[in-house]
Amino acid sequence: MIKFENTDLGYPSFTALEDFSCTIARGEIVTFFGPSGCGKSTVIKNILGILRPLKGTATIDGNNAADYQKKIAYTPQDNQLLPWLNVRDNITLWQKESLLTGGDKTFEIDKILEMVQLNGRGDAMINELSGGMARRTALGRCMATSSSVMCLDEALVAVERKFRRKVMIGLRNHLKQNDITTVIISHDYEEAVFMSDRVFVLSPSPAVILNVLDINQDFKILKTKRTSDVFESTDFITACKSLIG
Amino acid sequence: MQFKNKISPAYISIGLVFLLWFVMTTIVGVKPMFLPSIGATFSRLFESLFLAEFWKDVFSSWWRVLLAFVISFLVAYPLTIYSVINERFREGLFVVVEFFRYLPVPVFIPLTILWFGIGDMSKIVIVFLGTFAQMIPMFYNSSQLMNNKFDAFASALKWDTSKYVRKIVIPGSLPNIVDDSRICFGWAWTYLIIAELLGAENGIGYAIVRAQRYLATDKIFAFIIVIGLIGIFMDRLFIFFKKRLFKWSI
Repeated sequence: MIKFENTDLGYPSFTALEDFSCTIARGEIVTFFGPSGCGKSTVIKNILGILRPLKGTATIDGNNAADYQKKIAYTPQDNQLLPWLNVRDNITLWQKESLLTGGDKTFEIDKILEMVQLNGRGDAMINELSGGMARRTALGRCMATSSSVMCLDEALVAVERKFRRKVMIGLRNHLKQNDITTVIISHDYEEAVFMSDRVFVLSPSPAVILNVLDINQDFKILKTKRTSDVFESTDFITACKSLIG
Repeated sequence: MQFKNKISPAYISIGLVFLLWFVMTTIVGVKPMFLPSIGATFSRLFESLFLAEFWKDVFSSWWRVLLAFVISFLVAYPLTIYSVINERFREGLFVVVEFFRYLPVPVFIPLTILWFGIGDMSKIVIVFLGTFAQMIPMFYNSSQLMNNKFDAFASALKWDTSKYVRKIVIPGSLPNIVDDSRICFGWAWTYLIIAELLGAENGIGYAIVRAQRYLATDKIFAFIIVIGLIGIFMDRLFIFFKKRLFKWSI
């Protein structure tokens, strides 16, 4: 469980989020949705321990987030793929690392590649990939870890439109099947609605939570299934509109 | 236009140098004692190829520069890597390195001859002094390019600095380290020739001094060409290995 209690988040000279509190249950997928520069990524930086709250506490499973020693699967905005390794080795490296600290799940790399629509591209070097393929590799690297906490920072933004829905379906199934607590940062309403159990809508900086959209509670179809036909459903469109509005 | 595109710029540069040389010797009429003709120089170079003394000089210089360069690298690279890991060590090391970096290495030649004589050791020490202080800041800059570039590994995988350096900084910076080494090898070669000019028993630098005694300017020029050719060869060798070993960086 991830918990922010009465926190101010940001940098010593700049507060990005004020009086921010929220609890993310184990296995829950939440999205922080808001305009660029409102401080969405600051939330993830506090979970990863890169930043500490300026005020209040941020905890993961009861430990201060900055002292949490288990690996957290993470897709940074700039991918950070190692160019001297191929796609498969980039993914395997993170999997091996997560197993070193008590991870117990070994996912088949070929299945991961299939999930992120990179079948047959495991041997490609990073400089041979398009921007979208590199992004999907970074996603696959995250999925291959057995971390119980995952942070996806604008993970699907650069993914090509024709693959995006397929990747979202695979990703959501994977996260739910493995009970992974996931924090998504996005300004894409379709991604936010489809992927999440709850969406926190943030105001422009200094951000506060404007609204919390409980997707499972408020939109019945989305509670029962998240498959390709959901995208065309009235519930899905209504949920997206409520985010845009 | 098509004709122009087919000529490599390298050939044009070489052609211009030879043209200038030709003009100076044939049209301007500079005396051979000061500037030998292209023909005389290359015929002297060709003759030299069949002399054991020539090859002895070339290999003596080659051996010295290679050995000194390897020693310099083996000292400089580990120190650089440790200074990436340890900030306090870096501060201490760089004071000494900066001091040496601004010293003109030839000032040490009288001392090295005094300490080690005119044999191999004095040349190796000169090349070492000339290159290791240049290598460290260059290697450090190349390594620093990798530092913080992959901060997800530190934050998400909880890697400590030493693991980050082993797994990211070293493999990631190697192509740039090869480039840095290529540049440093050029300096190593220069320092060696200077050291040999000022006191040696053999080597290309010493061969030039021998030729000067007999006013054999054509021989001096022949050796200058040899030095340049070795430089081009080494440069290409470094680039070849970089392309073969680090395809991902190209």
